[in-house]
Amino acid sequence: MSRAHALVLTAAAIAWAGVSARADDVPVRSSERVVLHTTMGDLALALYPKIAPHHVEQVLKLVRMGAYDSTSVYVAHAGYLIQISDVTNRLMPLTPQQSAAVHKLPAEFSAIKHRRGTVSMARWENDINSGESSFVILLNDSPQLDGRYTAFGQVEQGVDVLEAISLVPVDRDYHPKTRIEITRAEVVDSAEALAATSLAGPIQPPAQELPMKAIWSSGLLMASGLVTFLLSRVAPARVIGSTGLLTVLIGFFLFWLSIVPQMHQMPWLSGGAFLGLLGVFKLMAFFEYPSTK
Amino acid sequence: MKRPWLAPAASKPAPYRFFINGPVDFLCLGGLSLIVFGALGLIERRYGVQNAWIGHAATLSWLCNWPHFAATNYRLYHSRTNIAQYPLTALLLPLLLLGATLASFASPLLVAPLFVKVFLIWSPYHYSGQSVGISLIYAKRAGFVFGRIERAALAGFIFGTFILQTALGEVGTQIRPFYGINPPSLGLPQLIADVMRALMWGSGGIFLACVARWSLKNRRWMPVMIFLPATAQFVWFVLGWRVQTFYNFVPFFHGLQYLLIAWAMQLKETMDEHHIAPSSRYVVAETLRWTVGIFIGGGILFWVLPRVGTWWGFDLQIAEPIIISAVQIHHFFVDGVIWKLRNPKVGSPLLINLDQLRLARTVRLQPV
Repeated sequence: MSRAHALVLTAAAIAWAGVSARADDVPVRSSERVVLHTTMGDLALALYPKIAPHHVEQVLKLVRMGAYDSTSVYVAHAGYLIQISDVTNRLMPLTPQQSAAVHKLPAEFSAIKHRRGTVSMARWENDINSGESSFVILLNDSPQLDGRYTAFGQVEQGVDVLEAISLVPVDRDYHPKTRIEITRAEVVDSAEALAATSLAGPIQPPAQELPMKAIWSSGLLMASGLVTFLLSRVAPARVIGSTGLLTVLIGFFLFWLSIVPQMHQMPWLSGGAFLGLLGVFKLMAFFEYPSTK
Repeated sequence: MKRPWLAPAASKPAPYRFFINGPVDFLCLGGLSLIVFGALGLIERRYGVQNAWIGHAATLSWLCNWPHFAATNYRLYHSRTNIAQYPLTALLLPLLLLGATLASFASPLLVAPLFVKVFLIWSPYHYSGQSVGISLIYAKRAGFVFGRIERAALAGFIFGTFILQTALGEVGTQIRPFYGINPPSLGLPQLIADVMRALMWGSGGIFLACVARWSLKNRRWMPVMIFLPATAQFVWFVLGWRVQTFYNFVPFFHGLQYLLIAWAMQLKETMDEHHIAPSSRYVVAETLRWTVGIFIGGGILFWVLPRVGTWWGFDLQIAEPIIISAVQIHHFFVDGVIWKLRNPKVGSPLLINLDQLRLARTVRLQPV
């Protein structure tokens, strides 16, 4: 069982600790806001530094260091919660500085109720002090979590995005079938600055998308390299050289495929690509160059 | 040792200067295109653009352009020796192009437009290569061997015509649909077109200076046929766009050039291969057999294959440009390997004349 899986099971555990609290108190919000830019729209979170100072400090620090960039929505459970993955599970490897900034957090339970929009830190089921960076955002009131998990913030903007994310197709463990990425997370210094920021509303989830360009590119080049290798054992140099030329042709076409959509913004790149294509044509004149002997 | 600019009569002139004779060679290798350009220009000036001529150009494609692709394939695939000599071109490339075709069908909005784009730019490049080759053949027939500089200057001018025209067409963001595919424009900066124009004129000027120098020194004119492909190419790609209906005929003229030479080659090679004695009957029979074959082949490549593409549920407007792009890119490769003039197996038959194929050699009996 993966770590994140255990975390969500923990988050979903039904229990009631009966912690007494001043439930209706409105916690003090930090001046900073965390904005999560996702592939399905943007979310803005307000944090509670007085309720969970260590949690808030660590999350703000990790966001400022870019550690949440390229993380993803790990769980999307409609009507209950979504869970942001641990920063160690993001697409890009963490830098040494980012890794060093991730620490286990002591529990900071409080009287804050887990209600719709509450941001709460995920943790291992058997260790209340195991929260690090993965957190959940609740879609409904969940009193079973009160006093068992550290609530450290609240969604301020983007509830519609949250709803949209919760409705994407998921597997039986509530993992989204399509990757919903936190492309970038940033700290906005104040509520006023947030108000001046334009946040993206709900965006249709991207279609199930494999990196087909990369798959085809690497596959074709590998196949060409393999053919060259196999030929090198039996074929004359002329044939091997020609297979190398084919690799150049395939590589250039794939290069074109990558850059042509952006060419109009970069005329000098397009000029280089055009002249490069002419060069490739010229090179192809040497394909299976006949022996004159 | 000082390298000659133009090496006059460095080799012995071939016994015959033309494949058939002066007028026929002139018309087939570019002269007809000059006449048609002039005629269409006059017609358009007097009567405006006549769309009927576009239909005529399409008919001529059937007659000339499609068969010329089939002639190439015939040259490669008709003998096992050729296939064994060029295994990658004959066997591997078709598979690779089949893969590109399938990828284009799978991605008609991303891969297909770029695949077609590669073909659209490669095609006039290929025309230019043929024009340079024909100039060299006629130079050799006339006994001239080009030095490196004048050869580069001639090639620079001929390739410059197409590069200039292509670059002008790729400035900006306009899209020129090709059947049902919209290949993207490259958005080239205007400066590239300006530089290409300067290179084209510069190369042409250097070539003419070389020719003038040689002519003054030797008190001889260089044969017109050496200049004809370059002149035709200039009309096709630079002046031709001033006559709107003309450019539809350019593939026909390219095919005509090719067919004359491929036909002569076919007759000579078949004769040598089967030890056939020269005769008019042989010329007529072999010409008929070859012509029928390449007509059928052209129909298969350009009419049947695109319709096979529609079996996967694609509209003919999508299947046709993708498949003919694959067919033509294969043709560019095949042409590249089978027409290398440096190959003596190719270069020597290219000096043939029709009379050598149809007239029986007279054998003089010497007294013992």
